[in-house]
Amino acid sequence: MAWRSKLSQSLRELRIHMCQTGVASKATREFVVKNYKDLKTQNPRLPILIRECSGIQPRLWARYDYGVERSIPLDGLSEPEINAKLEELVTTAPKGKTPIHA
Amino acid sequence: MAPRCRRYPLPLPRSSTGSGSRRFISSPVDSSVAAGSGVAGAKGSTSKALNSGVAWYAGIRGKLYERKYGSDFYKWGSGASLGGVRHARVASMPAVGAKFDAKPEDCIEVSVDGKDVTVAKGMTVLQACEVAGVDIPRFCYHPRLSIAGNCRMCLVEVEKTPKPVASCAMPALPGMKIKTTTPLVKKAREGVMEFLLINHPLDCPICDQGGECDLQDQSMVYGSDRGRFIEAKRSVTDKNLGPLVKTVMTRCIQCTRCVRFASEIAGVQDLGVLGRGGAEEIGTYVEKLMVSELSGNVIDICPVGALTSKPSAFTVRSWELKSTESVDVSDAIGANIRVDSRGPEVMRVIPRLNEEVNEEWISDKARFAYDGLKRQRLNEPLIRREGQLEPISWPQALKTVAEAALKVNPDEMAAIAGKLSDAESMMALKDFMNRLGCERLWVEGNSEDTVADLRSNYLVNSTIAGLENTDACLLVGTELRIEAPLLNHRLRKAVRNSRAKVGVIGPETELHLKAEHLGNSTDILASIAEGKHPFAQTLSSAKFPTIIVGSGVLQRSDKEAVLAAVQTIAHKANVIREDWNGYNFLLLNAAQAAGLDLGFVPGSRAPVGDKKSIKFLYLLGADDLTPEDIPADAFVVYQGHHGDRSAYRADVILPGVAYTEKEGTYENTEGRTQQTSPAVPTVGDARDDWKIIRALSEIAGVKLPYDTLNGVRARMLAVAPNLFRVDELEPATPLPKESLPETKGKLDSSPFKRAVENFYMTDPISRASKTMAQCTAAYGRS
Amino acid sequence: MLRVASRRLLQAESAGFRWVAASRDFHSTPASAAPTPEAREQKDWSAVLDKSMNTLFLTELFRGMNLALKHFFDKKVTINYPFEKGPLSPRFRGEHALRRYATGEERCIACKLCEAVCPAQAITIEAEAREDGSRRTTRYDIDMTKCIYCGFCQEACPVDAIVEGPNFEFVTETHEELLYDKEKLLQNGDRWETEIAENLRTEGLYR
Repeated sequence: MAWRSKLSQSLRELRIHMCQTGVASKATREFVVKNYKDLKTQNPRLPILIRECSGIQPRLWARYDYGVERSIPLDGLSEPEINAKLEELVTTAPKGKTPIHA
Repeated sequence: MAPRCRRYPLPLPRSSTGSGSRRFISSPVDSSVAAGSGVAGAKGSTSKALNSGVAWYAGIRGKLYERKYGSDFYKWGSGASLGGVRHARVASMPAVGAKFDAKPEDCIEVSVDGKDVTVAKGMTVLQACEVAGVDIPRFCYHPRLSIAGNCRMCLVEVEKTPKPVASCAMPALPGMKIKTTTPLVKKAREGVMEFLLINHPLDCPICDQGGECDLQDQSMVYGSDRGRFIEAKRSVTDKNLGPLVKTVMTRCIQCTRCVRFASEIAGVQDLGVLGRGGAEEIGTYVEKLMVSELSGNVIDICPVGALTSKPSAFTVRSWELKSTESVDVSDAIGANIRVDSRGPEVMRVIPRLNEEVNEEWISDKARFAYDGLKRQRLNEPLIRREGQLEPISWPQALKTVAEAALKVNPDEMAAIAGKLSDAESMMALKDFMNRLGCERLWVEGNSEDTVADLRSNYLVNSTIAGLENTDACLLVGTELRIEAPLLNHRLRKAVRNSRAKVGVIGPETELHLKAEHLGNSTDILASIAEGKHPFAQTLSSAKFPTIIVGSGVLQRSDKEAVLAAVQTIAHKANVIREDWNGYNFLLLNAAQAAGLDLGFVPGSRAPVGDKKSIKFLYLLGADDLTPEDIPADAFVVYQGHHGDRSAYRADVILPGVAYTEKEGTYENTEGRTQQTSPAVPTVGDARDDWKIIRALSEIAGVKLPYDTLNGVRARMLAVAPNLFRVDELEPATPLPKESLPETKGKLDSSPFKRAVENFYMTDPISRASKTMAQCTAAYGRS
Repeated sequence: MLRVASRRLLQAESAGFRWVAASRDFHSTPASAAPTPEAREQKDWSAVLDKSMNTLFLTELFRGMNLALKHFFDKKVTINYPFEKGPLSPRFRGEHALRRYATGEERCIACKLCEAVCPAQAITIEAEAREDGSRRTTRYDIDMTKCIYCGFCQEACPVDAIVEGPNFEFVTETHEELLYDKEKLLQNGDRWETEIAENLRTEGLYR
C-alpha cells in the first residue's frame, strides 16, 4: 500500500473517532489495532489521533493544508472498507489551494 | 498522640452536588442534607444544616408556647423563624437520609427514634442515624479521619445501656434502639456544650470562623441560653505553623482533628497533643512549621477558629461572599474548588467535594495563590515601540499582529499554549495557526515533538481514585508530592491501607509516605525492564501494579527509550490488562491534557527543533521560554493575564482573562473534562482568549467559523469528542503491544532532573502571589 | 306660611340631598340616599330651625374664627430654633460616630456585625490585619443618605464602637459629603465623645 507512505504529504493530521464499546465502532477498533503500527511507522511525524468517546459515531477526519478538513462516517463499514476510505482521503486531497500569503 | 490502633468509619458516600452552603467539611450533617435537601445552599445559612436538630428544639419551644398561649398560637409553617434561627423546611417533613452501597447479607436492622433503618454491618451508631436522616452534633468526628470519640457531643441514648454512648465510636448492633430526642440526650448535649464553652474565649467578633463556626451553630441549637462560669478562663500561647495557617490556640477545643489529619492524610507527624485535661495543648512541641503541601486543609477541618487562613485573616465574613463552583488549574489534578468572591475580588478558594478527584482536599497552591490574581495584571493591549511598551487600542493591536503574521512564511511561525490555557482558546489558536499554514504548535510542559496519538499514553489510566487500589507502584522521573499532591495523597492512602510498595526512580525526594528510593539512573529502569531488579518481582507479583511516569521525562533526549522501557515493564508485569490499566503518565499542567487531546502538537511537515528559525511566535500565556530561546528578530505576541517573563520580550501584548473570570474547559491528568465558571469580572479591557483569536482571525483574513462559545465547543466536539462530556471520564483503551510502532533510541545514563523547581511558584498566578513568595521563603521549594 | 316655607325647604333639601347623593355616589341607590317621606315627617322642627339658623348666620365660621382668636392670645409652643432647641433624650439617634478607648485605640474590631444587621445596607466595611497584627478596618463607610437611623448598628456592636450620637445638625450642600468614611466617623467620635459617653453611661443599664 504505497499510498500509505504518501499520507503525511497530503494530510496534516488524521483523526479517528470511535466508541470504546459500541457495535458500530467494532470495525474501526479492529482497524486501529491492526493498522496503527504500519501507518505510524511509514509516517512517523503525522499526528494520527485516536480519540475514543462513548456513544459517538465512528468517523475518520482528515485535516489538509490551511485548515481544510474532511470527514467520513465509518459506521457499518468493515475493516477493508475503512482502509479504502482512508485511501480515498489521501487521493482526493484538495490540491493547489492558494495560501493566504501568496 | 494518635493511638496506635485506629478505627476508621466505613465510607458513607456523600453527594457531591450543592453541598456548598458553607465549608461542608465542618458541617455536622453531611449526607442527609445534601442528599435530601433540594435547597441549593450557597446562602451561608448554616443552621439550615441542622434542620432536624432545629426542628426538635423548636418542637420543645413550640410546646412551651403551646402551654403558655394555647395550642393555636404557635403554628408551624415553612420558613418560620425561631428566635432568629431561620430554617428552610417544615418540621414535619421527613428528612431523607444518607445512601450507601452494601450487599443485603451485610446489612443489619436498627431503630432510630422509632424509625427502622437498615444499615451496613460495621457502621457506627452515628452513621446509622445519618442513614435515618437524623442529625447528630459532633466536633471530633470526621468521616475521612480515624475515630477519636473525645468531644462527647455525639452522645445518644441507646436502650438498655446504663450511660449515653458516643455514637461516633459505638458500632451499630442488630436490634439496637437508638434515641436522640430524649431529655437525657438533651441534657448531655447541653452539658458538653457548657464544658466546651467554659474555656472558650469570647472571640466571636474577632474570630474569622464567625458565621461558619460549628461551635456557634451547635451552641445555638443544643446549648443553653445562659452560662454560669464565673471563674477565670485558661489561655494558650499561639503556635507558629507557617505563613499559611493562623493559630489562635486559646480557641482550640482539642478535638484532635488536625492531629489526625496531619498524621493520616498529610503524612507529616508534625502536630500532636501535649499535656492532659484542662492543660491540653495542640502544637508541634518544637519550633517547627507544618511543612506539608496539604497543610491548608486543616483550616477547613478545624471546627472552631483555632486554625484559620493567615493570608485572608480578618478580611471576610462568610455571609458577604458569593460562591462560584469552579476547577483549580494550578496543577493537572483539576481539584474542584469553590471560589468565594466579594464584588470584583476573589477573597478565598476552598475545596468542593468530589470523591473521584480530590475528595475534600486541595493543595496549598490551589488554596492560597489567588492573591496573585490581583497583581501584575494585564488590562489593556500594549505594543512595543522603541523598546517601551505603550498602550494601544484593540483594533490597532489586532491589526499589527495580523500584519506581522501575514508577512512571515508559515514555516517560520510557531505557537505555544501556556500552562493555564483552556481548551477553547487552544482550539481557536490551533485553527487559526492551521489556517495560516503553520503547524508548529506545542503546549508548555510537553516537548516540541510530543506524540499525542494514543490517549492512554499520556493519561493517568488507573484514574486518580483508582490509584488507591494499587499494591505496588513504580514512580519514574517524578516527584509526586510536588507535581501532584492530591495524587500523592491517593498513593499514601494505598500505602497506609493496603501496605502498597512504592519504588522511586528519580531525584531523591520526601514523599511523606513509605517509599523505597531505587536510584536516579536509567540503568535501574533498564534492569527492571529486563527483570533483574528485585522491584520487578514486586511489580509482577502485585495484583494491581501501577507505574507513574512524570512528564519531566519528555524533556530528555532519550525520552523514547525511557518510555519504551517503561512500556516493557508495564507489559511484563501485567500492568496493562483488560480489567486494570496501571500505566499512568502524570501531566504537570492544567492545559496539557486538553492540548494533547486537541492535537496541539506539530503537524506532519512542521520544522521541529530549531528555535532559531522562528520569526513569528504566538504565546498563549506561555512563560517558560527564557528570552535567550527566542531569536532576537522574532515578532512575539503574548496573550495572557499576567505580566510574567514572556511579556517582557513580547512585541504585542493582548490581555486575556484568568481562570476565575472565564468559563473554560479543562481536562485533568486522568482525562476528566471539567469546566471553570466565572466568579469575578475581568480586569480592565481584557477579553476572553478565544474571542481575541477569533477577532484576530477575521482581521487576518482567515475568519474562524464560530462566533459563540457553543460554536467553539461544537468545533471541539469534532476534534476531541470527550471534551464535550463535562465532569465525565472517558477511559482510553490501550493498544496491545504488537500494535505499537517500534521505538528507536538508547537510554543514556543521565539522571532524571526535577520537573518542578519550586512547588509554590509554577504558573503566572502563583508567581505573582505574595503568599506563595512567603511560602517559598519559609518552606523552600516544597 | 312658615310651615309651607319650611316644608318647601325640606323638600328642596331632601331633593337636593337626593340629587347630590345620586350624582356623587353611583353605587348607592337613590332610594337609600334620600330619607323616606315618613322619616322626613318625623324630623324635629327645632332641629330644622337650628340647621337653617346655622346656615344663615354662618355659625361654624364664627366658631372657627373664635378658636383662632383664642390661640392668637395663648402662649405659643413654637420654639425659636436655632436659638432654642427641643429637649433630647439620651437615647436619641443622630449622627454616627466611631468611638475610641480611653487609651486612644479605636474600638472597632471589624467584626462586621453592624454591616450585616443594617437594614438599609448603608455600611461598607473592608478589613485587614494591621501592622501590629490586630484586627482593624481599612474601610468603614456609612452612607448617611441610605441610613434610616434605626440604631441597629449601635445595638449590634459588641464593643460600642459605632454609636449614634446626639447630633442631628449635619446638613451639607453636596451629596458626597454625606457619604461618610472612616476618617469622618472617627473625627465625629472624637468631637462628640463626651456627650456620647455620658449618654451611654445613663443608658447602659437598658442596653
